[in-house]
Amino acid sequence: MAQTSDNLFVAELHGVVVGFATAGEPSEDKGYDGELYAIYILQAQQKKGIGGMLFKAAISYLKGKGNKSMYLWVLEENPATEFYRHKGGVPFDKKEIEIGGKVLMEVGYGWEI
Amino acid sequence: MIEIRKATLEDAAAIVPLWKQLMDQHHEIHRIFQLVKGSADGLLAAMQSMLANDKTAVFVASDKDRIIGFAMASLGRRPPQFILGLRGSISDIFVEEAYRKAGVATQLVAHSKQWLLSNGVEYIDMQVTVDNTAAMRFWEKQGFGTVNHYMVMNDTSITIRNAHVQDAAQIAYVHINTWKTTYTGIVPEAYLEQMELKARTEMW
Repeated sequence: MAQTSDNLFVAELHGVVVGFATAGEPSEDKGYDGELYAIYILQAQQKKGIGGMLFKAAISYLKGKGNKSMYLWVLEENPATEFYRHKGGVPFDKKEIEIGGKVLMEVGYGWEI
Repeated sequence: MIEIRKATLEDAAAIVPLWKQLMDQHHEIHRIFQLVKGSADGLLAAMQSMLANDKTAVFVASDKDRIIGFAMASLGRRPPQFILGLRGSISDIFVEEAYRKAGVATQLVAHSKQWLLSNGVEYIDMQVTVDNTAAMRFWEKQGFGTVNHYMVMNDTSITIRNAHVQDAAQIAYVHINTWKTTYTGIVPEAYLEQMELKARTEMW
């Protein structure tokens, strides 16, 4: 029997994975009871509605667990911030993060779900 | 009396409407044949460049100077490891409805074959859609046999499902590919380069 993950969702096209999303318990106490850990979609397959579908799957999962809200961290320079704002995300915090020796800014977006 | 001759640049505008008809017929067969809207100008430019190119030839059939059919032939050189290196292809061929069943297409094919052979081709190929049984019979009569089945992924829509353990490698691929395309110029290059598929697969 295949081991299936309940909080990791994949988007398939032509039978292969082109994107995924994962959500769950908040890793920090920011006043939200759920966290969207990540949405990744192959760049060439973005802007085709896949993000919206994965976003919806993650939210249904969190709602199913009785959650009322969620947040996520995204790099300020990531163009995906536009997607999250479009999805109604409200920026509530910023923090510095070091990646490969470079200090970058992350923005926290929050939702009532 | 139908006359067959090799087309010149001046014939381009007269061939395009026939070419367009051929493409419109294929439109229904599969989405790979569908053209963008307003593609007529593009077709004229494409036809002109084919007529100007010495690796391609277009043969036209005309009835009292009016072009009623055409066929395209092209030369190709394959990689040197193949015994048969010079390839000749016959592609788009079309004859107006009113002139069919009179051997016009057969004559167009004969002229195309001769031109290809005069250019030293070692074999001649062509493609036909599988649904087009009449066309397949025609090509078999011209001496062609099936070698390949050209297959295209069926249309599928995006589906969302829970991940399985077996998805790890594909998820890792999406993870790394997305990082690299999104964060180049944002995250240090060295960091992106050291992201390895194996490590990410294990992580997922």
